[in-house]
Amino acid sequence: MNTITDIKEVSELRALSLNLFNKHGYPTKRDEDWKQSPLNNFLQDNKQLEIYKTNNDSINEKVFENFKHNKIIIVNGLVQKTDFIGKDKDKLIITTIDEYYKKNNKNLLKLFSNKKNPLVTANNALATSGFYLEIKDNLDLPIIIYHQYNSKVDQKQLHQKNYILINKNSKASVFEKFTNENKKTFISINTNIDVEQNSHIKNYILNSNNTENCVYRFKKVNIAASANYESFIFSNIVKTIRDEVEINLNQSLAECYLYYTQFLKKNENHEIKVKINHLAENTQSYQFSKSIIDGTAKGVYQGKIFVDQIAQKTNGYQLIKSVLLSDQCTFHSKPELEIYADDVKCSHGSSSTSLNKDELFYLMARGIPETQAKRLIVQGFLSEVVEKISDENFKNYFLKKTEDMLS
Amino acid sequence: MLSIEKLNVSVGDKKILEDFNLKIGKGEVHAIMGPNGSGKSTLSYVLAGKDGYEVDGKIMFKNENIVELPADERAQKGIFLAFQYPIEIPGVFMNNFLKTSLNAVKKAKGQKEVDVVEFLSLVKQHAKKLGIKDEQLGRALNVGFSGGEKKRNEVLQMSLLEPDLAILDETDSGLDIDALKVVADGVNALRSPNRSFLIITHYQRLLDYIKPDFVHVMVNGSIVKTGCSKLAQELDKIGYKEFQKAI
Repeated sequence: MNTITDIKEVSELRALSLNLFNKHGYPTKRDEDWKQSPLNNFLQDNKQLEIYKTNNDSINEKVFENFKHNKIIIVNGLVQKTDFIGKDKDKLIITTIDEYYKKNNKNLLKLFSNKKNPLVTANNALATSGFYLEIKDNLDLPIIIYHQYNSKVDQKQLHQKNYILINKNSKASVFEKFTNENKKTFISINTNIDVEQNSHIKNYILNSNNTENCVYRFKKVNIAASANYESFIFSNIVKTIRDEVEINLNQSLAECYLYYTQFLKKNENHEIKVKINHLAENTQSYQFSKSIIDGTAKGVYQGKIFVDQIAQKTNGYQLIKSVLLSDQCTFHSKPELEIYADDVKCSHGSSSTSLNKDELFYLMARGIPETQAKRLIVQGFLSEVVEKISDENFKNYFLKKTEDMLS
Repeated sequence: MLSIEKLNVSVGDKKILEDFNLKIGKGEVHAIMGPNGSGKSTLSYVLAGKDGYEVDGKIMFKNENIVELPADERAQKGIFLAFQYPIEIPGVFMNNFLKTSLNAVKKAKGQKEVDVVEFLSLVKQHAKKLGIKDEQLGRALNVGFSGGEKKRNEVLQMSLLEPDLAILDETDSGLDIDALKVVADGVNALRSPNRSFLIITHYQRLLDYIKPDFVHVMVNGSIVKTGCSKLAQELDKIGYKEFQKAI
């Protein structure tokens, strides 16, 4: 089950990636894209972490959700078990990424195309695990991918490279639930997603119980005509994470909707980096992020909308809001627009404030104790984003998560 | 019910209320009228317990000095402030807010808290009287509400919480004649021998609907004249200039 490196094409691409990585090395504060990244310190201090080679590690079934769903369980980067239900069995293909390489060895260049991002080149060179998932039709049930990392990867680095293909005219909700029980580990997950014509993918992510490690998650999403990609990332109890996505709206009527909520406390760090490339006419993108930051935590949002010269009638929207609950916490926001077309509608806004005292007084003047009033305001603030989720079941799931997180 | 004694309120170097005194008996309705900047809204905020003011003096409510108590405890003891500008809170839904508020007050009073079913029945009953639609109860608190909807919502909260002292801060501002009548009817329905009201307003028109027992004129942070409801009609004709000159 381990990564096959004897495929000539893959070996060559990996060697090329390694050269690129060696030239640059780990990112530092001097790299504009990584200036505020919480990963820098961890990576500079832990360059020598041994690479974890995947194995048949045991599954933690306690974290399984109790509603009906298709299961994919990945332990320390390796697909350990799948359980697809009813007709969905015929609509899904899952293999290791190596199996995919074997069958498609002439068509791999696009999976190794990133030459600028040092951590993606490192992942391309060093990945020892990963999966290929193909969705062939409309699914009846959601997929939950359980990403589990246990103590076997303590003080190691793990590089995982995945490819998800959503065929034409398909619909699916894919929920990725991460559970980390390890220490001082660097986990790098690099996922390519192709959303083919007239397909709709909803990708929800729960970052939680990730107390002792450093995670870099990079996604590159290609969206074809009349297709859309909706993503929601909910982060709470994280140590050091960078969630990065690059989206190409390649054809007319391609759309993407990116939603984020995070509640960071103590010394937690979460960075979000978004780049949306509008590369065709009549494409639409929407970003909405809300953060609550407390303690000495640090939140970062870098969001760029690029509009190509040919991408007329683009509609791009970005709204980033954060509430800072303590004097020591920080939130860095960097909204960017780069527009080369003249008939576009793009807006961006960013605000960081403390908890609104007028709101607090209003609730307390109705007899609601201060702690409870603050909780209501915070819950309301984050719920505004969660309410945008279009899958009703997952909307309710995350509204409940938000409520539970604060109680 | 309420006895304010030598209340001095300032923000930084600016004095807003100076040796302010006022007594409101059980079941009485008092109106305070005055020009802009006379300190009326500050008085309402200070009575409700808003932070940010330097406060000196006594606020005796039901024989207890509440001057040091936070806003939530004052509300639990029976003080209600109907805001001049009700605050919009995105993401906090009306039903959830009203139930949390009602149960916080009930808990403090040692009463049984209401469950969801009891609450919905109760809130719908009160909302109907004020012409508030069920749909409004499912919306975020005051978000996108019209001026009239916001003020009706304040009266709805007042009727649910059943306070001993209700302070209405310019409840008439932003209301058309029909809405003013609905809100006034809602307030009148709450009048009882055990409940007192302090109505803050610029204009006499609200007092046509809610008849006060006493009218006070407030200028530069103090009450300069007290009379019966006829005083409001006089003020409507002569304005506040006479009182400002006297000072």
